[in-house]
Amino acid sequence: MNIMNRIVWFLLLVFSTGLYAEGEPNLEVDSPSISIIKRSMSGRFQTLKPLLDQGIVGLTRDGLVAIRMRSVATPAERNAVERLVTDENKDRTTLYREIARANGRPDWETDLKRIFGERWISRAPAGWYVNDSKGDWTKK
Amino acid sequence: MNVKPTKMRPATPSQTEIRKRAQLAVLAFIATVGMTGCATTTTIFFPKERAAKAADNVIDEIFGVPPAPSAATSKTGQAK
Repeated sequence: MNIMNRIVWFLLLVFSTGLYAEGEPNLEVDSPSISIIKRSMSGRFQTLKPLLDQGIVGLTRDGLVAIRMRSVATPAERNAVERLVTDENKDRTTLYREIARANGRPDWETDLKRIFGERWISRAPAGWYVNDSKGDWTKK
Repeated sequence: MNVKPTKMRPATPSQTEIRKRAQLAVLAFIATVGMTGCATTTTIFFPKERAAKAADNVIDEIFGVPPAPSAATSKTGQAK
């Protein structure tokens, strides 16, 4: 086999492998770590929901939650809300990062945050507070 | 001395030359297709609709919404 044939076969192999390896993105991927995060978020939602219903916590446009009313009764309650929001945001951030990573596209994390943010706000029931495009709180 | 001019004949490529040209053409084709493919795959745009669907499914799970019955299940939720 001469050198030209070898080059042809090499290129054929490289390009076909490269093209074949790049599959369709699967954003509904459910890896063990993603499942753990979702379970954690589901468990927390029972505690978070009353705070969202009362408007103490609201949804931000980047797919996170934030404290809207800091005038919660006692310092202990305030600390509990802050801890809850911190834990929830940690899970949400990890979830978006894991989905992006599972697709081999860590650069999609920001886009995922934005889309999740849009969907959380769109799916939020009436009465919940959400961030509008100016960053102000709006009641749905 | 009278030199008779030789008649110019177009050079006919040898078998080796033809094979080499064919191989070069194949090489160029593969390279072009490969490069185009690589360029396309590296510029996959963020699939917004899929991401929105994935987000809805996650939100359903968090909200505790039961999954919608698939086409393979009847209205009563029983598998056909």
